[in-house]
Amino acid sequence: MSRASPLIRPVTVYALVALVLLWTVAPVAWIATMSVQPEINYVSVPPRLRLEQTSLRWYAATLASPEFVGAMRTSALVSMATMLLCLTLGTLAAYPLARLNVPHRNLYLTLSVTARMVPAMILIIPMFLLLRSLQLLDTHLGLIAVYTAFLLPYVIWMLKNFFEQVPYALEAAARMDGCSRLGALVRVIIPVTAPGVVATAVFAFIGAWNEFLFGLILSTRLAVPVTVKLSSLVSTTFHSDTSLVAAAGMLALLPPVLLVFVLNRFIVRGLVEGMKY
Amino acid sequence: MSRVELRALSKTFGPVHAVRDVSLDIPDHSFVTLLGPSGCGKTTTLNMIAGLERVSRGEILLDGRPITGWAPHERGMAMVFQNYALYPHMNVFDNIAFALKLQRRPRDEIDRRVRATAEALELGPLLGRRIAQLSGGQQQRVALARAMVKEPRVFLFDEPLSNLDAGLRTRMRVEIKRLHQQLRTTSIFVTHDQEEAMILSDFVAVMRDGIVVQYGPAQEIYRRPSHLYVATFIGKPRMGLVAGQLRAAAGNVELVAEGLHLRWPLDGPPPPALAAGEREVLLGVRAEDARLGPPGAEREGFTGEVELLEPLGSDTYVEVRRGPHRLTARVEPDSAPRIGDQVSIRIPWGRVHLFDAASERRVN
Repeated sequence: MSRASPLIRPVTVYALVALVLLWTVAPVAWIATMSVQPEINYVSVPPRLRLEQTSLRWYAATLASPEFVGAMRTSALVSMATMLLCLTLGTLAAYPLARLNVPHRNLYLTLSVTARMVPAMILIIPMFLLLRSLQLLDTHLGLIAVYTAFLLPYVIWMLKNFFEQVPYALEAAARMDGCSRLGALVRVIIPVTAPGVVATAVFAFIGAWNEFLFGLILSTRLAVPVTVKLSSLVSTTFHSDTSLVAAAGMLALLPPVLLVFVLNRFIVRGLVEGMKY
Repeated sequence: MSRVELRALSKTFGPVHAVRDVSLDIPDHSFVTLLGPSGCGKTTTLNMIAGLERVSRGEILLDGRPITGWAPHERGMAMVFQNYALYPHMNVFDNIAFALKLQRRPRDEIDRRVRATAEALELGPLLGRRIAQLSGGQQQRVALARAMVKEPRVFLFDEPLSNLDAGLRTRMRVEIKRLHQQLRTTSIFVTHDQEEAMILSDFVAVMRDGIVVQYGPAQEIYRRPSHLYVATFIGKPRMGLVAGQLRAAAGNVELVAEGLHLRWPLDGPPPPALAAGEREVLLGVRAEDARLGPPGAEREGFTGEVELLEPLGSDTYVEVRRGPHRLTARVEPDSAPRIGDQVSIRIPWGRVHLFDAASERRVN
């Protein structure tokens, strides 16, 4: 027992990690394979992988579809705008909640998150009516407004927690040095919490990018997000070829992954260096 | 000229009075310490002077001008914080230069001033370092440099030494003292360490529960504490106390305590403290004022057993116990008795501190 124990631990840990990886990565790997193989190869039993038949033509076909590219553009625009709006509004809301003596702040925080506990299905009809009366149905702005409303409470909560970790003296020092409260927020608190802020930004972007239900109901033609477009591809246009759907799915996966890659630098730096104040 | 006056300064947090009617006159060029245990309101007072904390009532004047509502940076003050509060996302140079950059000073002036300040504090080779790469002492010096570079009218220190280890703390204490002697900038220093306060300050304000109990020159605080609290808070070892009844009788002053009867011959009229007859007092004596002698002598003192020795090298403190009473005397190490010895301890009348038992105020 005492001899085997040095090995048992790492082996168990790696086995569990491998299992989790398999669980999360396998579907993506499956779709990735589908997107470069003819349908016949993977619908046959057992599925076969024929490397000589590997091709990117389904990607080319997907990218040639103006509908799909338009949906990607819509999603990118809406998600970016939602992310920026959430960060801006979230910062301005989270800072006072973290730092100033706001009356009833816990009540506010609890309420804002409780509102999000209501299932989205219940809110969809009121939202639809609201957007219709504002003439925001099937518009980018409509989606941005709805997504921001839904993500903002989480963003506020996350940012508040990051801001609270910054020692009060750091902000006091900035104010002694000549910053206003807003200046101290921008020049000191946000840079110091950058890893957290970036993680929050990624969260908001992915939240908006992956949203499906509201996009489906609130947009019909002009501002259809890629998630909705994907589902309609499955049922209509590309019906004949699953490889096309898989390629489209892979393309839809790309922007959030790219974003995480680009911003990973910040997140990892934050994790490696630790939040040293 | 940088004289700071506090007039009946108060701060309330809801129902809590953090600071009550603090009035201090801090002269130009002076080094003043706000001294007290944690929660006594000293840091809140400092933060109000800095403009970081809103004043609930009262006024702050800088050279006669009211600055109570001014923003922190408009007051021309610089602060050194307990945890240094250096900007972790900037290097040493940028930390020191931050305030000057915000003032939109020309680039070459910033460069010159930052380098000069860094040289003065031996930070020259560290200017490019990140804060996380510095030791505690180096961080403390960067914090000092960041304050100095602004050439402020007033320095504010919020327990800047309490995070350092003992050796470094002593060195930084000397460094701060030397800086003040060079720059002569009015300085307000907050600490709970009475030794630090005594060493650094021209004036000390001893605080408790949001109130200034005594404010005066450091020596006077030590020599003539106006309140029992100040007497026991200041000085190491703690002032020895005997509780009893003080009265004048037959040309003597007498203190009658549990199992004790101390007597001092009286030259003139009875002391003013006894004008109203006898009273309950606490009689205090500092270790350096108490005298040890051979056992038996009961005049002006008592005989008791040596209970504890504290050899410091230069001196030895001897704690003598008799019944519930304990007093400490300072002696030369060579003449120190041994634990368990019977010795007499004499309390010279001219050196005693008398405090009213009820009000705890000084009565002599």
